[in-house]
Amino acid sequence: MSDPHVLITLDRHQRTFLPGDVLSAECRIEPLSLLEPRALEISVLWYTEGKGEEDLAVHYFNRLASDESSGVDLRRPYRFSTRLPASPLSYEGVIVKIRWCVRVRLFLARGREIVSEQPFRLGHVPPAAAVFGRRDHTDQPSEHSAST
Amino acid sequence: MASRRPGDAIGSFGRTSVLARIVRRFFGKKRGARNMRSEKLGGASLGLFFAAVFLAGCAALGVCLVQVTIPDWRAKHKFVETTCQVLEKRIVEEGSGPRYRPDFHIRYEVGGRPYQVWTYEIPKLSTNDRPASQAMLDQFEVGKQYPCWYDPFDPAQAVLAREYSLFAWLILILPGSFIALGGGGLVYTLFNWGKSAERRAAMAQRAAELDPFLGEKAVAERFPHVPGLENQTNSPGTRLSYRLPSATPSWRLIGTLLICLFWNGTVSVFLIIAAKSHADNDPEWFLTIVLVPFVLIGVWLTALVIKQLLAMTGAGPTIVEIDRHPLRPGGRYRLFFAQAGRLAFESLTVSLVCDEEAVFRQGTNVRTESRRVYTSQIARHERFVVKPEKPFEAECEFEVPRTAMHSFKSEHNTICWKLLVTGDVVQWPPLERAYSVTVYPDLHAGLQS
Repeated sequence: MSDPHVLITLDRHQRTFLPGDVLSAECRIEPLSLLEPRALEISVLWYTEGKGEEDLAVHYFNRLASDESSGVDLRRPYRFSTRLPASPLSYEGVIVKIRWCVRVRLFLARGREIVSEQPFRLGHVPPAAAVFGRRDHTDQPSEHSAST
Repeated sequence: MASRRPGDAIGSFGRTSVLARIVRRFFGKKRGARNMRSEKLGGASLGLFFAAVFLAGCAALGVCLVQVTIPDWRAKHKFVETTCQVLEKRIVEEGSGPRYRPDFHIRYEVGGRPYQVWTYEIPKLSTNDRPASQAMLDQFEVGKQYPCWYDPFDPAQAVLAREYSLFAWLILILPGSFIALGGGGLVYTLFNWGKSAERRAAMAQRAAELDPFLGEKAVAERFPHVPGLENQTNSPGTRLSYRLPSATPSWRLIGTLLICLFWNGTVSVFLIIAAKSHADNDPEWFLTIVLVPFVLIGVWLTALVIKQLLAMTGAGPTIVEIDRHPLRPGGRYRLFFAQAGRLAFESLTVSLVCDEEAVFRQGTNVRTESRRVYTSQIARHERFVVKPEKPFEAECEFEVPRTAMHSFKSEHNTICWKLLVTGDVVQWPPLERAYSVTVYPDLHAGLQS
């Protein structure tokens, strides 16, 4: 039997979104029989990768707790949607990278957690490349140079 | 569509061997998915640390209250007045300082029962100012009667003076700061206990939105994590709409200056010793020879400071103005730049550049690394002379690439666009001045503005 996990299914087949697009998705816990979910956290977020410390910001966040008073059944598929912001756009830089994803964190009994991610791109910024090895400036222009 | 688990999605090791995986796990960068820290263990350690600081503060506060502040307050407000006779007086020396305090042997009666104690005031404060203690001592004469105050619960406790003591209350600041630090940290740790990174980030963002003093809120709402324009559009230009402020950091000069001062200051001490030995006809040749390379480094550092100072201040002001701000990908903009001073230029170049900057911890140091990912020469002028009465002026146009990444700023990572003015000056250090500009995301790429 497979390990318990959370399936995240984006409604759109394409993984690239534009600023202002609506991202909608469904998340489902599998297999249900083995799990006693306590809470589910759904986030649409970006984080940085690269040379620097990781920065993270949440654009959409929802926490569902499985208790009798709320009447929430975490075993049922959960749908959500959010309009994506204008920035920051996904970026594949040299020492700074910005990645967007849908992250679902499932809290189980005895403090166990299961985390699933579905990455996607926001915007169409092409990957960057280092112009010079270091920051130290030289007057050598790049391929974009255009003297007046 | 099956999703990937983060362990696979981020920082995946692919088909690497077990050994390589272990090596990268232990010696690779300890961030993101390779972070080996246990959040619970880390949180518990932090909580224990703050609890220890809090408890230490509470214990110290208790001691201060019981030993100093409460006795001082009781002496001023609860002690009962009576009359005493001064039998003896002296100045007590304490510590290795030494510190001094006046002390009087007094006799008084409470309910018909006589008491004799050595006292002056509560708390017993000493000072390194002996004349001040002597002055206090001289206020009382042996054999004469003076008013004194005794503790009604313990008549053997008495004071001869009960002036207001600031020390008795100021001392509470020390344990109070420990309590504030430990208590605040403990509350923070408990508040974040068991919360995911996303939940903490969401809570922090909500708290930031409530901040009434948050500048550039409108920009932050419309373009999250794009720097605002406040510093770039508040100065009107003379030729074009906006004059840009210089973004050239002076920290390099300050850092070099501090190193230079420290180095030469240290070396000069030994240099004086060596020079004195030569002057006294008892030359320290070993010290003199050893000092030579250190002196040379000091001279080189001084030359470096002068060079940087000349590069920063000697070339006269550079003015850069643009017609519109913020910039947009694919947008075309007019640029005016002027260079004042008295200089002969081999060349003067204006470029549009984009730098990535990352801040990271390496051991206990915080480092910043930068990479240039775009540069485009906008204008270049060669072999000309700038005179004080006639600054060099030029106007041109430039274009931001259609696929440019927008300006970005988060806590540790930055993408910044700049207009860079660089010049080769005859018999002068090279000129380099940067002027930050902000590139907004492309509104035509689907954003409903």
